[in-house]
Amino acid sequence: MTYDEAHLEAHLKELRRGSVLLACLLILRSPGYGYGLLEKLETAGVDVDANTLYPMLRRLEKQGLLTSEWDTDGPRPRKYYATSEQGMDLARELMSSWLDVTRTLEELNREEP
Amino acid sequence: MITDLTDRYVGATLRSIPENQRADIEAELRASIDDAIEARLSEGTEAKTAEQEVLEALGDPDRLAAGYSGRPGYLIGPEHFFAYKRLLAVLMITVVPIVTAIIAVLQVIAGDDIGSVFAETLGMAIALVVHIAFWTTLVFAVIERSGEKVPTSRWTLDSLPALPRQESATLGDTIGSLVFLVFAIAAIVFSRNVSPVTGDTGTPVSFFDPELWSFWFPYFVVVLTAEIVFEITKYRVGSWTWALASVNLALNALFAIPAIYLLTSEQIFNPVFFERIGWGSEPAGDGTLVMVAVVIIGLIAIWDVIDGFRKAKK
Repeated sequence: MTYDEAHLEAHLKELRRGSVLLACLLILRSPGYGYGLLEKLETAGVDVDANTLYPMLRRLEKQGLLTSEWDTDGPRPRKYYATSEQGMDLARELMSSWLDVTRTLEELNREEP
Repeated sequence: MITDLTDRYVGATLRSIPENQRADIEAELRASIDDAIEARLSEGTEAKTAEQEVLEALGDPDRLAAGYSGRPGYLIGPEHFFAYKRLLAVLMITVVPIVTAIIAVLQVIAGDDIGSVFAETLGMAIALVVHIAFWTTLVFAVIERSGEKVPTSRWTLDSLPALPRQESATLGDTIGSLVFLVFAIAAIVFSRNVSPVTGDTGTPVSFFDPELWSFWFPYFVVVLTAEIVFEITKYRVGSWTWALASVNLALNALFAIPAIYLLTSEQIFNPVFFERIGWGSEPAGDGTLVMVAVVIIGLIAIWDVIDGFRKAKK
């Protein structure tokens, strides 16, 4: 990786950091488990490491933004997370804030320098 | 599983996680690892390779455990770092020189020779630096991990240093004063055992009266050390203030008044020293030397005090 590529990578990571939480809250409107969520995030283009995501899920649960339930019926027991009411409220707040930022940036981009 | 890698990985992660959370985290982590391995197997990866790839992607188990338990992956975070740095600096420039000077003086009083005083004082100074650094760091690391919001010396506008002004405490002045003060302390301390004049038995004859060691010389060393702290404080404040000028007045009085008293009551010089160099038993002869010394000390003290207040007024 060249110097420029490493910098670009760092900038992109910084820019997208805040989107991981929002993406999780949105995806988990229908219940999901750790690895399944990781795959969905990857498919959606949200870049997050497993060792960041798994502890984060437990933290969000502790904060009351997610609820969890063990499903022992499948081939292996899995912990399913789902976005709580509180989590949905936060998701709406974050979403409108995210759109505000997008609009502002678009306007700035349109303005002639 | 073909290997025990997953077991070892899970074990290493759980090691530092509180007992009551372990079972739940273990079950979830194992399920996640198995899911990931399975996904790779269905893509046609060999079982052993799949397990290795999954665990490598999860990375350092200590880091993962820190994520689960919410512990920071650093010793002192940005919230406390600058308070930590400031406190460390203050302790280093005050405690270390003061304690070192006191220890040196005590050893000289105890009659140790200069070589061992120097060696022990240096060793003590190094030990002090290490201790201060260690304990300060430990306390801040504990604060960082306590999870409490500990208010460590919050920064306010009042802590801004003054702009360096003309005719105020400059670095050159400060260094000059410090060199002079250290030299004065060294002169007092070393005068006991180092002298160009020796007695009949070859022992050095001190220029100053040895009686002074019972009280006055330790006293002067303490006052001069206080002046070192004062000079450093003055430099850090950046300019003269009324408070600094007042302290300067007090320090000058603490030094000059006893010095002049001792000079005029002929307690400063060692008569034996003057006998040895052939000046006769009356050290200052007609008292010229004493008068010159009194005038110099008095004028320097008065000038220094006035200068301090004059600069504070600006």
